[in-house]
Amino acid sequence: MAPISRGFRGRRRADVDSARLPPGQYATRDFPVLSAGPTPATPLDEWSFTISGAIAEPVSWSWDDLVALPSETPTVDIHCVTKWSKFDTAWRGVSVDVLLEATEPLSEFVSAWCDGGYTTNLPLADVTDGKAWVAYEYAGEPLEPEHGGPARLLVPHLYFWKSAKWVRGLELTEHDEPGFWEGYGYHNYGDPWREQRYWSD
Amino acid sequence: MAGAAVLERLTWRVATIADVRAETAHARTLALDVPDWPGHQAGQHVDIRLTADDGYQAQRSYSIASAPDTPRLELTVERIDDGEVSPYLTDEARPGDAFELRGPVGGWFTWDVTLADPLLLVAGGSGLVPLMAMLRHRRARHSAVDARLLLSARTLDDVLYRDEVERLGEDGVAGHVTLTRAAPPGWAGWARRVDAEMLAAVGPGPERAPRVFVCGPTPFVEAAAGLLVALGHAAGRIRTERFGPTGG
Amino acid sequence: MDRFTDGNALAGLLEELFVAEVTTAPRTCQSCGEEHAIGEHRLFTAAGYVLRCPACGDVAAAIAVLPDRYVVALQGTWSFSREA
Repeated sequence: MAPISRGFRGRRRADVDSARLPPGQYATRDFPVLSAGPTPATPLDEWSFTISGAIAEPVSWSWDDLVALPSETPTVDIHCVTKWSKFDTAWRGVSVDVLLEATEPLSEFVSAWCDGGYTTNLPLADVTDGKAWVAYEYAGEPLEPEHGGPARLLVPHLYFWKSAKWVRGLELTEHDEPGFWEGYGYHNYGDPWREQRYWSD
Repeated sequence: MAGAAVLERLTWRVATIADVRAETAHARTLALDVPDWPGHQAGQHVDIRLTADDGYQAQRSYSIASAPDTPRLELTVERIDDGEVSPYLTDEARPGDAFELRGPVGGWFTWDVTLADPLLLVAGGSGLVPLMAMLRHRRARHSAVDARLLLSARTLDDVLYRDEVERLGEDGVAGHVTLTRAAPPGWAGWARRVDAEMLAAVGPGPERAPRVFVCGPTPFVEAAAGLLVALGHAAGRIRTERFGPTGG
Repeated sequence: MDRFTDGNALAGLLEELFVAEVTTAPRTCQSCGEEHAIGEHRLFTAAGYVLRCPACGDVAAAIAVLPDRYVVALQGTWSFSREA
């Protein structure tokens, strides 16, 4: 056991409802910025969101198209694999269900791909039925680039590396294709309630 | 490099705080006792790890402030107000307290007196720490290497090791300070962000091929390194150490 | 502003793994072919650590710190000196 540093507590919130904290997590008031690479800067007039791959018809939205779609304002708890959780985060975004209404998925797996090259994979079932959004506002303001703006995927029931920043599209794949962190030792599914952080969990 | 320790397997050791002293209102130097400390090179850093009584851990890196020539290891920590670790080290920790320490590490960002080329040190705020270790090493070894320091700080009260910085001339080091937020009345130095004119005035020029070390927050380092390259310094002669967002 | 530091900041972890001075170790990039010391690379911190080539930005290393192990993916050619 490591030596205790007398008086050290860290920045964790003490006043939390522990039932909302997945195992091994601590609650934070701030919103840490973590990135696997530099922040992209695609101008909005060049931005698009595309659903492609194993679907009936590829479909694409411009930025103006996306923000004109019916949006929702989910307030959710989010959980990062680096152990911080943040409660009651407020977003605005388009439900992935709404986007998928424009086409018909023909496979069970999704790969999200992003400006800057980041990818992550999810079962289709984990981005449908109200579980996922393409989010473009956070706390009532346009989503900042360092937090994934102009738009990121939001999938709060899984560890937050699955909520891919700077998302530009979803590809429906025949087989499950591990994304960036999944290929480097992180868990393929990533359920915080079962503490699925790494491939050996 | 002269004085390099034999590289053994790097593990976490226990460091005990032997002494603390205030440097500024926001920064403190911790003098540490570390059993079997192998010695270090000026510019290196250590990783430290704190464990709370419920097992929660936080880890940060801090540059070594002391010269390799002085027996006791010293770190200087500047308090980041909403930081997780630095407020503990600057406000709470006291002699007798302990934490884990791994190091010294980072041979990339080191200097020693056997390197005869002119030395240019560019520091932003607490980026001065590893660069001061280099200058303390230079002084301890009575070196006459052409050495120049440009320090950017918000106010004079934020300048670490202020007395030492003001007396650098006694060791033949050209020390320059620029204040970016507020300057005291009668201040004769620069009062603006580092720019090309300032760097050119500090010198030496690229024709003398100085070794350049730049240290500070990432935006400061990016800007200064860019200016140096634009002035003609070879990118390969510039070494940078950026303090990142996890340095809280 | 991009949030990254230097490969130098990963020195402790890498030296614990490789028992070698790592930050001065040169790496030839698999993508752009340039050679740069690890200390010159750009370190991003996300779920794990990502070290990127300072010239082309491609991934040089991805490192996950698990409770009982490190999972390390290295790309490009890294050269570690054997001298003490």
